[in-house]
Amino acid sequence: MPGLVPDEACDYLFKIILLGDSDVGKTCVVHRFHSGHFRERHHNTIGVDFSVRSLLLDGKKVKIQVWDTAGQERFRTITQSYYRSAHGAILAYDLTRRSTFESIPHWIHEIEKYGAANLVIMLIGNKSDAVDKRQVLFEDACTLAEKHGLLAVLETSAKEAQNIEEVFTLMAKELIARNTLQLHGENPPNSIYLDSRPVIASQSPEKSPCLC
Amino acid sequence: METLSPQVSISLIKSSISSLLGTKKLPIDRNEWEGYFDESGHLVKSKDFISSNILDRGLDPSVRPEAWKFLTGYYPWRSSWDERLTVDGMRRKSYDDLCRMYEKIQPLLETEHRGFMQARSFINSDLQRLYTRDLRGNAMVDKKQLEKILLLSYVCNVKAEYQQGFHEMLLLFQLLVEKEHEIYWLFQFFLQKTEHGCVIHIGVGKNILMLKAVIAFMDPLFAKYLDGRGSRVVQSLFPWFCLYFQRVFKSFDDVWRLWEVFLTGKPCRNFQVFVAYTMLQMVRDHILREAMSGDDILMVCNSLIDLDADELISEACSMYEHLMKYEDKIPGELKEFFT
Repeated sequence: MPGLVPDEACDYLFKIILLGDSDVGKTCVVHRFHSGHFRERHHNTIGVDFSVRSLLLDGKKVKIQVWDTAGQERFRTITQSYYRSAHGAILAYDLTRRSTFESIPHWIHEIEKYGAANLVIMLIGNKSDAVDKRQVLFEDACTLAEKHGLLAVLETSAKEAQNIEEVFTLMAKELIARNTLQLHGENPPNSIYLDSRPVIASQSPEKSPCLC
Repeated sequence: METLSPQVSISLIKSSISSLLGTKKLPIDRNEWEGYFDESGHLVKSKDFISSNILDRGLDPSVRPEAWKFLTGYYPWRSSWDERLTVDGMRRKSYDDLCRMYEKIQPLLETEHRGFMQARSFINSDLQRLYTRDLRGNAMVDKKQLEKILLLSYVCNVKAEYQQGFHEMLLLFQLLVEKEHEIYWLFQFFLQKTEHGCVIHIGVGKNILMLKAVIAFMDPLFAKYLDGRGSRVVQSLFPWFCLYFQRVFKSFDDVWRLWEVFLTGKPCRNFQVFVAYTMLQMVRDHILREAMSGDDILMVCNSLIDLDADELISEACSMYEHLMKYEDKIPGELKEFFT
């Protein structure tokens, strides 16, 4: 099982939390990223699930732990406690359902309230395979992202494997650039976030694919 | 106090030997069940006798629909065929009344009640994702009916309202009994009988608290280790309770098997905490050996799936019996919770 192999040394470990309304495809995004497959049917998430994948970026081994969260409010008092240790957050909406996009400010507020102060936030509009049913313009998403100082917006399709790798790669690169955690190879994985140093709160807008 | 692991290993070996030898106990089948009744349909066996047998052996699928009506309280234990016919008619009527009332207030709920619209959207999206075909690809679920019952339950059960996961639970009732009013009432009685222990703002917190207390009492070494990994480690196991372990089994049969034990109230009240404790013990040595972090503990617990209900129940019973050996030392709150 990934994440449980003790000798699996890595240069960085990042925890990324995935938030957004119910049924916007959060679990499918994680599953696609983790396994390379798309799952049409799956359980809804009760509580939190997480999966781990390692990437090689510029010669560095980066371990990404993605936390998938439940949508329903009543579970959130417990799941909010997971926000604090996250280095990054991906906020997801379904671009074929306007209401899920309108909730994004609410999710930003949640993450600002319960997450670490220097969290990197990205926005993804999932289900880009169904553009004919589009209810959210990419421009609107970019405007929102700019307003809230988010790292970037990407439209994704877990179904057609569109932009999924890019989301996590972009997030990881940003986190490396900010030098959040320098993980020394000889340290056991448990001590990782004890090493966490304050983050230099500088945005790097030129990296953003939506150019916001 | 000594820790449990030696006993756990021994009983694990025992249960794997018994399954190897094919000594699995046979469930109560149709013939045996019918033998429990006299000519007028009164039970000749006591509730206690039947409950103990269910705990020990479980029910054959052919017996479940009827037996569950007794276990949940849909039927009174002391009743004849005729009386049960009357009860059934009454349940049907009261269900119809609820449906009529619901139809009347639905427009009002849609416009005036924000929670209703939100619950409905959760119900819809949850049902949409529910896997509803059998191995041959045949549809096995009437989603419209599930939606109707869940909405009605949201409106009428103001304590529980709608919780994500109810849709999966209700599916098991739909597969168990035929008529809509039976599905509705069995689900409601089930929630009531299990003291809403699966509802996050009602019973789950207490279950978690008691699970912690059981670990602290029975396995102090492990308790200390878990404490050192942050307060949320045990807390993060809440989905086990919220779904009453539905996702840890391979088949629906296993889920029914466990739930009918919960309904008997045997071997003790709130047995679900021992079930959770037993599952945690399955990974305990692994956790300690690898000095796992809180995240890895959660991950290894999440990977407990495809379990066998018979084995899990018998293990959890051993854990309970083990606890009872120290009866005079058990903290009062635990004693009270389990009796």
